[in-house]
Amino acid sequence: MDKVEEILKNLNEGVERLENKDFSIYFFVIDTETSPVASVAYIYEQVKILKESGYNARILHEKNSYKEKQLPFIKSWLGEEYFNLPHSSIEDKSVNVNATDFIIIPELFANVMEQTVKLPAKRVVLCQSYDYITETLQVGKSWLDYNITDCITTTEQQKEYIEGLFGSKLNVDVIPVSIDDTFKKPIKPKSPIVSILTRDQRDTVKIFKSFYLKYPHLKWVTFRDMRGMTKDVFAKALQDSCVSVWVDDIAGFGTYPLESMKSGNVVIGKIPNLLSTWINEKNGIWVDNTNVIPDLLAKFIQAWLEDSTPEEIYKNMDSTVEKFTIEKQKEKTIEVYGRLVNERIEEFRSTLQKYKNNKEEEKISQ
Amino acid sequence: MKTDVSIILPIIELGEKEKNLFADSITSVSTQKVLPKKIILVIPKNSEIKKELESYDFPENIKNDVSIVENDGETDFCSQINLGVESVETEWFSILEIDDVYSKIWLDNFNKYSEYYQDVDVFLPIVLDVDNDNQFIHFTNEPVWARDFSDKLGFLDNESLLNFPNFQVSGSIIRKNSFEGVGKLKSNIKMFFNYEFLLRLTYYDKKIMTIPKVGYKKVNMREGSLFWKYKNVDSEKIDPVEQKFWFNLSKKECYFKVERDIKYDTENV
Repeated sequence: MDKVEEILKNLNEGVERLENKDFSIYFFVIDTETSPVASVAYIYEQVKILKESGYNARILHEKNSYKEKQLPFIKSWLGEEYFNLPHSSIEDKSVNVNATDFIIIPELFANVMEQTVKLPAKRVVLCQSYDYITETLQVGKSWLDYNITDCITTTEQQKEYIEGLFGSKLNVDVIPVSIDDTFKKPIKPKSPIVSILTRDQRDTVKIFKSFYLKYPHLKWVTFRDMRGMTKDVFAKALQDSCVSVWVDDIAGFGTYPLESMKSGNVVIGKIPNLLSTWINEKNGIWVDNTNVIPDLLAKFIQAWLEDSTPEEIYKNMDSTVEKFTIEKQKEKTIEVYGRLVNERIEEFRSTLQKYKNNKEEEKISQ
Repeated sequence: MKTDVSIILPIIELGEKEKNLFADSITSVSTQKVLPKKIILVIPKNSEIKKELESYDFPENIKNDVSIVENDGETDFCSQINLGVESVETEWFSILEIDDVYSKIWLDNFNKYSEYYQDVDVFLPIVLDVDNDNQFIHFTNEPVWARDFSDKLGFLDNESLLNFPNFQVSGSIIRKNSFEGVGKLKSNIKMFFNYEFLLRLTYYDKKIMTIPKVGYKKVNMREGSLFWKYKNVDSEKIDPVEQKFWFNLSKKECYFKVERDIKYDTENV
């Protein structure tokens, strides 16, 4: 068999493998060193959805040590079904990437995009935090320079931002985050507890200290810092509390406020720099200045103690969060990855056709 | 659907001033989101109050549920309440003082919280304490929600009560069986009868919880009120030494369910 025939055979086999879902989709993840990070949870969710849809989706981690510490943590944080998803380690060199495979690389890892440029697999950027895009990207370099032409993000606003950065040659798809049913309204009546999550922990301290200073008659109200909890404990803490405070200027999506809403908590939040479409003046108490949060919180607590929080806000919270169901995420995930696979099949076919044409031309010229 | 609670409202005097207060307290019952089954007005026997009440224009939605109980014995606050409780036919009762009011949401929240916390014997409201000009002074009963105040967030226990005595019983909703089971209010304990009662409840493992909602408004030291008299009326005055006596005595008497023969004794302060 000559070389061209071998290429044609490989391409045909590739098409067949792609059509039969006989390939791997590797999702590169960071080792969070046993800290719960929403973006990692989203990756695991995508792997789970794709696995359930018949794809060979896998978590790809850098070190073998991931299995010793991080993986048991994944079990306690996200649950057994996520722990049981297939995992591969780069360090043990057992990963054999083919042209039919896909590697999904988080936006932060521009170095990985560069290092994998010669791999035959199709690479896609998964961008959940627009703010990290330029973190490791070399000056003057673009994802397109690393032969990456596809990106998946979580909101239309991030899509616009990414398109603004990289231009129209980059194809950007949106797969929304879902808020799963671990988060639900409690049967137990709520308690006067404030759940607080801020990107900078100084904001948490500043808010509760200011609150206690300015409103000493409410010093019995408890604040709960929501960092570092397993998913179940986190969900229960949201159920127990009556209000959530959120400050995250660089948030790409805003999972925490939506989880709060689904748990029946009104959110007092600072509007992030990139405004998500789901945030509106009717579904929460949104401010552009962290300093006013203690005052608004005191007003809210007073209203909550008197059952005078407007019913309208709770209705709007429900209608906001119902848009982010696991079904919608599944539907969109299958649609986007299905399209990526079909495009890859078309690439293979188009290459195949080129080789066939070349071969025909060679025959004629002979 | 009315909730299984009787309201006990003791009345000792019903002059013009008290009539206005009474109108407010009764309105606070009739405007509840969920109504109580009974309103029991406890009055001294052979007083003019009965006639006044019989001709009183009670709000339509509660007027058929009002009953009057006449007391031919002692008419101090504790005796009035104890007698009122004897007439209670519901599982729960609540004490409403004539110069206080419930907030509209109180019984509704009692329904919500008692449905979930089924083993609780006493539900305290957060009390809004105001001055004579209706200006906010402070909350009462709320410290149980502070982290580390008691063993369980929201609940009052004996140890925390010994460290922090400032809790208020009026407005609370009490399980009749539990009230009778620990021996009712003790009328021979002055000033600290509420405290002694709460200590006794917790000593006998009754569960007390504060519903984290403002359920009751109290005018602090209203002229003519019981505690105002302790401070300002010569015949009723209790000096700091006697206050200390009753306070310390409450901590000792709470072990006894029955009211014992106690007199103020300066040597035992």
